[in-house]
Amino acid sequence: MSVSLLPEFFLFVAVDVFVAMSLLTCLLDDYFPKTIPYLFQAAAILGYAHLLLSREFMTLSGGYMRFWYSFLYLAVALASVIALNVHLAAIKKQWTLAKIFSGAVAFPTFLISGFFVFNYAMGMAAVFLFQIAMLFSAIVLGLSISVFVTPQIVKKYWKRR
Amino acid sequence: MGRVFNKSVKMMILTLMSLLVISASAAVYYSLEMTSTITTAANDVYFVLGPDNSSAGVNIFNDNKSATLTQLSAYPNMTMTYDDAIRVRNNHTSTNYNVRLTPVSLSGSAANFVYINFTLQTSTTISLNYTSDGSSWTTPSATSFTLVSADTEYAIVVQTMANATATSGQTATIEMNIDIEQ
Repeated sequence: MSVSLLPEFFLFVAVDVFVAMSLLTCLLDDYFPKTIPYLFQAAAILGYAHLLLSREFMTLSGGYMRFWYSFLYLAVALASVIALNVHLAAIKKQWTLAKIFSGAVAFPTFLISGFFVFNYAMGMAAVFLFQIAMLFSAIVLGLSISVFVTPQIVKKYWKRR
Repeated sequence: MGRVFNKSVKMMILTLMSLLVISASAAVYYSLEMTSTITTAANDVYFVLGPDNSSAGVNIFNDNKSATLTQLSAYPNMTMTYDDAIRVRNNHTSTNYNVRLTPVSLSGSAANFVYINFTLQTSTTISLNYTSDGSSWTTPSATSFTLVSADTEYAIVVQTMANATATSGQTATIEMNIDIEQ
């Protein structure tokens, strides 16, 4: 099944990202402040309210404006994913966990979001079956990169050159 | 043990909240998808006068979207052809459209006519052929769609024939639509 994306789709993706981050930070609560999962939940509820408002005032705001406020919310969600990764790596010094997080969460999230934005910008219809396949491929790719590309390998490569 | 229990409860609450938020958001997004905005646009396909318009009494009105042909003649046992009384024009500079002819209404004495035929001269011609068996009219069904190219005009050929015993001064009024498929 293929459908054209609405700008509000980015709001929906961002709500999903916030919810996923909330559950992840709850699982990894040893590394994050206790209030973080609830903050992400609140951000997700805010996104839901945003969707509702967007629906109610759809006729007032044009497509351009709808895209930008949805895209900004998605950008905030993606920035929070990066912030979590940086928190793990720089503040908690959990290099391995940060690497796994970047490969399994941050990288696929960015790739999928970028793909949706590209789809929308090109006015293409979204084929959801492909996107599910792409999500799994992105996770595998991200994990592979984070597992195999270590600082030692990079150093070795540069020495060889 | 207590910490694990606390974490499980916290996780369960967050999971339930997440499910609620995601389902509600999905429902709102779905309802958004069901909302379509329709904008009225300028009419690209419309009628224009053909060179033979005066002999057929063609009158175009309603922003070229309606036309009447008031002086069409039908002769007993003779086919009368109006080659180019009225045309259909696709005024769009680049978009081709599919159009079809659809009958709307017909009135007039069936006893005096054999047929009245309208043929749109596209590359694949489409016709509406109203026939009479002498007592009642047979109204045709809508034609199939045919392509009208951008910035092009197509003539509608009108053919009529009256019954051998037709009396003069009888009239038939036919109304039809041009449907456009994008």
